[in-house]
Amino acid sequence: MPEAAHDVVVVGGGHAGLEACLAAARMGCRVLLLTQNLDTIGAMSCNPSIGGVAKGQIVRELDALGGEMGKNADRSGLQFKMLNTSKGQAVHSPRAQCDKKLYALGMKETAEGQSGLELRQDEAAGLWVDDAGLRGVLGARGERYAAKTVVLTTGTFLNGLAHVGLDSFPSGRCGDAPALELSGSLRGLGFSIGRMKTGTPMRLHSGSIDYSACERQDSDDPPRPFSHWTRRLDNPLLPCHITYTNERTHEIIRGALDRSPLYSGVIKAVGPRYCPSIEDKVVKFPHKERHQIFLEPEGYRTREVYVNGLSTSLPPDAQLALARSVAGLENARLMRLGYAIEYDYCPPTQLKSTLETKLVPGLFMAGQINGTTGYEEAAAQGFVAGANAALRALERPPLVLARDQAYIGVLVDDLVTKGVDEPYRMFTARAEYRLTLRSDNADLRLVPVGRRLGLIGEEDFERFLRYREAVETGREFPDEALAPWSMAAARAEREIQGSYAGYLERERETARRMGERDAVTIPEGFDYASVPTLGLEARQKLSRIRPATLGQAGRVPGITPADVQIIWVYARRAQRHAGV
Amino acid sequence: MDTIAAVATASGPAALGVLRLSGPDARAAALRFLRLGAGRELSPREACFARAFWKQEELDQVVAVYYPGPRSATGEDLVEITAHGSPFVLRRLLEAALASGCRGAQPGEFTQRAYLNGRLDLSQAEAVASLIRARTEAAHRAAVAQLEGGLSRAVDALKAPILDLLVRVEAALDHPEEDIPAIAPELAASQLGAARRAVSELALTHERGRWLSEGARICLVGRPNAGKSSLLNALLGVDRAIVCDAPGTTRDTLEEPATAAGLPAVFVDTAGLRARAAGQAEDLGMARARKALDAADLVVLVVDGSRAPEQEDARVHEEIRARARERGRPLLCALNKSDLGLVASADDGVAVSAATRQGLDELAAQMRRRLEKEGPAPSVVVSSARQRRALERAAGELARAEEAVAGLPRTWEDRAACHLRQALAALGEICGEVASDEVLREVFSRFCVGK
Repeated sequence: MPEAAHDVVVVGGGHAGLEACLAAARMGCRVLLLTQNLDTIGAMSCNPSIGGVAKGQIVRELDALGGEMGKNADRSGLQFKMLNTSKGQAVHSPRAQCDKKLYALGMKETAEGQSGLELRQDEAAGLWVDDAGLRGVLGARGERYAAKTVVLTTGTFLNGLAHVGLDSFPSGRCGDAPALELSGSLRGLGFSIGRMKTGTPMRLHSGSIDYSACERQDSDDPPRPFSHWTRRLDNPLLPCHITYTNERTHEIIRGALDRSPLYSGVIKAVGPRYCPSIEDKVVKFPHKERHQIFLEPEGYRTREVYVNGLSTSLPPDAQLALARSVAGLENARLMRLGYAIEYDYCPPTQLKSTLETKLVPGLFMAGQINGTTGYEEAAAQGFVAGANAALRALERPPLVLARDQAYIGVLVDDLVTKGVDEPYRMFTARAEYRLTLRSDNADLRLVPVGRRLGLIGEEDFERFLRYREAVETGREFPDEALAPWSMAAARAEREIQGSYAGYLERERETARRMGERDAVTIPEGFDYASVPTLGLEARQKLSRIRPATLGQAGRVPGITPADVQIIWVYARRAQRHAGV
Repeated sequence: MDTIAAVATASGPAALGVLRLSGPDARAAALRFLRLGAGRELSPREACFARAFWKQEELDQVVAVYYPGPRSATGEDLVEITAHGSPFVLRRLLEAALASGCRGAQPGEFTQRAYLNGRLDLSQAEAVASLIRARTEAAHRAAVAQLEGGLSRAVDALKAPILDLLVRVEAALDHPEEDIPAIAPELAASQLGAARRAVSELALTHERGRWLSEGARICLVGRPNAGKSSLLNALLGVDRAIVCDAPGTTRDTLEEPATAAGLPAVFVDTAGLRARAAGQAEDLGMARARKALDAADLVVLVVDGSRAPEQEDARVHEEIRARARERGRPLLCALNKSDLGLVASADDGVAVSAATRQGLDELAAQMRRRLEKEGPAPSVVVSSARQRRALERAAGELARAEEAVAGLPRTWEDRAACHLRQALAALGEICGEVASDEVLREVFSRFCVGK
């Protein structure tokens, strides 16, 4: 077989796709990014913010690994806030409001300037697979893109169907064409495909909003950057505003429910519980007198305002009426309607911990196609999938982050082990090592990993090593030798570690014990039907998910510690019988 | 899995004894040394009369029942053979089973198999162990309550408020911008305190659970020659202790299981206490007696009621009472030798005669009453040390969560959440939801099959 033109082809230029292709190219691979529309790569399709609780930690981790999201948020940020500062350091979480267009342009510029990375506008119609396995990607106009590995990051575009009121139309992101052929290709390869739903609120013209009737929410000043390597933030800072729904708003919504695709049964896919549409909030919490609304600017050079909290798929007249019932929005002019969108996803239990599919070696998936939601979750998976695709192409050992090492490790492990039954979003509550996985120590946890991947430069790494020494031993260095780190930062970090001392030790000890179970591998073809004591449901789940280790088996939902013991006994027997 | 066999009833002579075979070959193995009546066969769950043989020689007439798996106690094929309870016959029966292809069971192996085959959860498995050892009706009731999920329900009730608080803390940590009401530290502290006390209370029932499964420790102490050993023998109804008119005959402590008016008990006979020991052996015995007193659930001060107390008697009696008070041990006074006419008296004294058994029932009833006063019989008791330790761990986590709230009233949430999660995990271990390898090892090493 002739050498493939590319080591990695990434399908999709969203937050997952960009991290995937940048990581792979920076690791020395020949990478091709295929996108339906080069004008929308890096688009922030929904809210104008990056980070937030747990998500901010992910962005810091990505940055420490050598990812792009943090740097790009710093380039395009118009407001920076550290959330949760009234609580313990472990949950302090950075968030930036960004100029959406600047964000997308910054990403495009970075991708275009990246050596080893080619960008190409074409729709992927299917995977190119023959008897020898995965060969690459088939373009919609007959082109064949040969590659050793493929990363699919298709977002909400797979068979996307947008809903506004009872009206529905095929769509990717609203205004873009959906990808209609790819999920058929995946089905043909034997993947099971599910359906999910998400939504976005309306956008209003800022000139039509009476901000004097709202609470003003300013940026932290001075703002703190996301990236460990950003030295200064020069963008002017803009405020956001807060207002509230009221009883009249709720009446309007209740009166329009018969025309809601959610409540009239038109949408059958599962939406998230935690970010419900305003319809959901009003129906599920009828006694709540008001719901918060954040008015967030979408950029410096646009008057569009993102109405965070009013995600809705009600018909246009109801959207306008409910918006205008809110204080400050009495004269609001609608620029874009809110909508709900249904799309195909591949249940992620079909993936290994590297985000490679179990079914097709060399094929990786990341982002919403795996049933997640959020830019940060997508970017994190994109990085893991892209790095692993590169490592596979380069024949190097894979990257798997542990649950006590990074939120990204928690994210991937949850996806491939537990699967999803609603769009998956990260919360700090998902992390059993929450006190260890802080935003302030993302560098200490992950810069060495980024260095091993080849994504952290030698000079940067040496500075990091000095900083780490300053933290660990208290040794003094001149700030020039540490920059962008500093002695002040090292002292602050020492103090935080000291304040959590007993807790961190305890989490380390637990992680060590759990690590022992993760070291026990379960034979690949292990027959769960041979374990007579497992319940039917447990047996089916384990046969489907096929955990790689005893530790992973224990994290499969519904699997009890007793089950784990039994699997352990039988797996050992199976190994003994196999002469292992 | 191979097929295992063991004698499942207590060692020692008894009317009946049971041999159990469990495993895929159980039925076939049994038929190798049993001969059924003509035209009979070993049908599922049917008592079947048979004659048992050992090397061609008829051993006994037995009743065999075959329980096919998975609907058996161990979840696999099981045969129970009930024979006459002679230790000799049972030993031979076991040899016959081993000669027929079975392997001798390790201690706890039947229960382990039941557990591995999903027939029991961890707390049920432990209840079975208690059941095996249940000597009295009261213990039986507690064991049955646990089997029926009484303990699981009690633990669930403990978990509910902890889970409630944790849920609220997690919500506050993950959603700072939603208008979720903040949790006032004072409120959190009081909820944590209430939860901790409830957990500790259930842990305390372990003492009670221990009386039920192991017997309450009733310690007989007193001056030399007060008749402690005679009283022990009278209470047990057998001559267990060496009794001699010479004072100081008992130099070591003796422990005897028995039943005190319906409660299982371990009677501890001790060396008599005097102000100054006569010899070294007695000195040691007296030290042990004091230790036994410290570990007792009930102290019975035995006094020779037929003699007027001398100065030294009074001093030793006072020492015993003081020590019991100090250690928080309930104390009962037995005025022994009432048949000789009582001279001594005590407010809490019960007149009794070891020689004529007069007043013995009254003494037993008093013992029971004093033990029960230590805590009204709870509906659920924690009977295993593993469960008690899990409860104590949970209480400890809750106490540390309280410390976090008190120490950092403005940033307590993330640390407290850590302890709340651990507390829930510890409570989960009680019913086997989160059992680590160590837990299992301990549980199964404690299981005694063949007893």
